[in-house]
Amino acid sequence: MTTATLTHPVAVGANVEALFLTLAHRWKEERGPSSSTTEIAMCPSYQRIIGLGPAAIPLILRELEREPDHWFWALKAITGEDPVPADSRGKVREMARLWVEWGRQQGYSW
Amino acid sequence: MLIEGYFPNLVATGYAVTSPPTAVYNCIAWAAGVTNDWWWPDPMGVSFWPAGIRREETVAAFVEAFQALGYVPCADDQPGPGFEKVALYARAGVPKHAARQLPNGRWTSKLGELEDVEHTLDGLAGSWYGSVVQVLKRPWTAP
Repeated sequence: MTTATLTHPVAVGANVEALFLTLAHRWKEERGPSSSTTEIAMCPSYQRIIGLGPAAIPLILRELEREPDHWFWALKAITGEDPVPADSRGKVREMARLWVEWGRQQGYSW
Repeated sequence: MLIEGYFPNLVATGYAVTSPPTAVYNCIAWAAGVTNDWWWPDPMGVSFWPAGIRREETVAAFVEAFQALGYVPCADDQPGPGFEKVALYARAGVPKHAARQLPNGRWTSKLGELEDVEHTLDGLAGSWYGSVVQVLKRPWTAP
């Protein structure tokens, strides 16, 4: 399978941002008390955020910087990248920091 | 939603909230005594899972993960001197949750990204976590 790698920032329209914020809020309700990373990522609103594609990247990174949470599956799915080394998997704060750094290196701003 | 909304049994069995909510660790990590990791054998490979343990969402894989920490399967959920226990919950054969027994015989759980609670095993049984499918024990280790 070929995975596209993003190399350029993507402009985010106000309507995409509003949709993202709505979906992110719904996602936190849908996930409930689940501990399953898979279940959390399969929530309908999370899947719709992945479906927003590259436009969601700076919005996710902004959320990660504000409050580390389980956005890593979505970022991997959208970008095909993973800046997190194996020994940092599961360390949510460290993963958030690494993804935010990755975003800045790629030229994203938020 | 309130915790009782997810776990209606808690209304009758009682429970106590023992931490603020956080997305930094989950129930499996908490049962393993860890508070800085999110443990899950997700296929995307974003969460921690012990090295050498098959990365699959089966009861057998979760039992193996706790066996790697010195636990062995046991038949009952009663507290015993010199042992600590964990209980695995599953729904339709898929692991959903783990709880760790406290010295007083009650259990402690991290509820996803929500709070830690002290509870009975029946208190968390239901539509979210299913029911207890395996209890494991190991010699007590000092915190």
